Amino acid sequence: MRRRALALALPMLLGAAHLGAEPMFLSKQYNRCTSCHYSATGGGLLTPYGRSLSLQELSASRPSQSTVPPPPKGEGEEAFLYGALGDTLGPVDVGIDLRPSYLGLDVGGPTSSSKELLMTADFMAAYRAHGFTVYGEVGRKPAIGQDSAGIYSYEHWVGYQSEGGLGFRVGRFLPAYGIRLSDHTAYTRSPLGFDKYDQVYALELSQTGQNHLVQLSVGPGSADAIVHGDPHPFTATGRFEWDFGPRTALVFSGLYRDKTTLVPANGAGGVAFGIAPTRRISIWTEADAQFQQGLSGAPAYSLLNETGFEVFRGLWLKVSPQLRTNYGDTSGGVFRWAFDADLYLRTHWNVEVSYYHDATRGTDFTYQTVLAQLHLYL
Amino acid sequence: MDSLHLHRGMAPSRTLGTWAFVAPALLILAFAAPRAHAADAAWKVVSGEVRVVCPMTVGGSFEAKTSAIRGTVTLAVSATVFGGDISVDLATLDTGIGLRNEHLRSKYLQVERGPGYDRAVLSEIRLGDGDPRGVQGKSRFTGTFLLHGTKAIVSGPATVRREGKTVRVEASFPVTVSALGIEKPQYLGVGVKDQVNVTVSLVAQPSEEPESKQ
Repeated sequence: MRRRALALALPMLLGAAHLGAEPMFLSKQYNRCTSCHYSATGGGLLTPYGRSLSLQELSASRPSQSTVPPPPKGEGEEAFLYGALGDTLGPVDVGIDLRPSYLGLDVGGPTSSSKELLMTADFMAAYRAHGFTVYGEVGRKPAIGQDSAGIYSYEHWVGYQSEGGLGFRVGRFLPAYGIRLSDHTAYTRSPLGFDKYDQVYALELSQTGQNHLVQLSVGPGSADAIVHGDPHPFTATGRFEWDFGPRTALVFSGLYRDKTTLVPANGAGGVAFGIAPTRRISIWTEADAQFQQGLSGAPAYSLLNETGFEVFRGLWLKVSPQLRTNYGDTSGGVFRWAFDADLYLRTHWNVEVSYYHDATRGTDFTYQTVLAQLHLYL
Repeated sequence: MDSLHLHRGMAPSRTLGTWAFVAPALLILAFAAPRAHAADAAWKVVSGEVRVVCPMTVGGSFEAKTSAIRGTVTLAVSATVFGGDISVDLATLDTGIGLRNEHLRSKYLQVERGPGYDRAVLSEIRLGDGDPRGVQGKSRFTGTFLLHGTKAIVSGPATVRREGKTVRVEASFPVTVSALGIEKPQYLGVGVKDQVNVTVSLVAQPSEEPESKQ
């Protein structure tokens, strides 16, 4: 049981990596990832607008004087390396994501305390012109199991979006499904196959408008499996978002993975609802059912709620109850309470402390995890 | 008021300017009915809210809103057009984000330029196809909309409900930003589409004295 707990906590030991998408920005009337991120599924490199928003709306160090015209490209506190390079890079936007992290794990019984100081280091770059975007990331991947640490590219793709909202992208990326919470260990992400290293090679077609966003992807499947020559299933995803208003969204998602020599065909379907009743509160709820060919009985369910509250400018608190059941056993599985405090000391500097309490249903086994990160987005 | 331009002859839905939050005036029309056929009926806005939904170029939308709506409209005997006006204080428009507020108010609406720019005004309101006194339920309105120092004709659906002595009005209309001479809203690659939608909800009650215009 302890080994299993460690396995569940391993993703956190790897560091939260990626600058996560921030669904909490629904409270600020941002219901599209592309307002701030190059990727339509969120995370990764911030656009110039996203960098500006970090300064203007997240940082506790409020600008002494907000300016109506944006600062010249490459200048200002929100710019790459705080503007040290000016506009040297021209039309190319770049970013560096560093996350020194500390993790403590208590699996109960004779306390097992695992403390790590790990460094996630990613370099991201993008070029956008005439609706086209070329995007790439290169980072350090920590050693996992028998895989040694090394250089890794999470995402690299080329995309296009017309002024009318029709778009495509092809390459390696995390496919659209549900709500991409910044916590990649969430029960609606990791168990469904949307963890930190679960990108796919695929073609994505999308259509976005004032109230809707449709994203469909098809491809040969797991990018890692393809790179390593392992079996990789044909994978298709679909996501439909309908915005009832700037602060309310309903999302339907579907996923299908074909069988391989190792894993039967499987898939998932889910629905998510987000609402921001005030400008300081965002509430997201997602429910998914996961199916696998050959298994009888109930599917495995993932249920999650994440409520974010902006206590004051620069400090966000989040609480998230989560449930994950086992295939064919709705009374089994794991229940989690996740608490998170995120302090944005100044632009692109934030300290995040997370506490997880996971309890195996039907037993008295519990384990706690504490993760502290200093997040530097330069 | 040195540069008031009146754009006419354009399809209403494509004509009006920007952040037309103002428009609330439409509603007013409705009020006339309770005092049907009385001489110079006057209605004063006692509460209300204006919401402007702004579609973004990257998809999705945001909303600017204010409750700083005021005004009085009158309807003379046998008249079909309301006198007076309904206006909104543009300096109170709130999008929920400071920088966005500043851009909206200062860069695009230019409220600091004073009269003609600091308030959105709806006047010359017509309700329904004929005598506005009998309008109840769903109808349509037209009016003259002043925003950013420019006038335009606007129109849209309106719903009028009488609740005792008061009248509740809900109306909406599209506004084309560029038609009002407003700079294309754009900031660091994220912009607002050219057509925004204004929704007005207000409550008015009979007034003995028309509100003095400012």
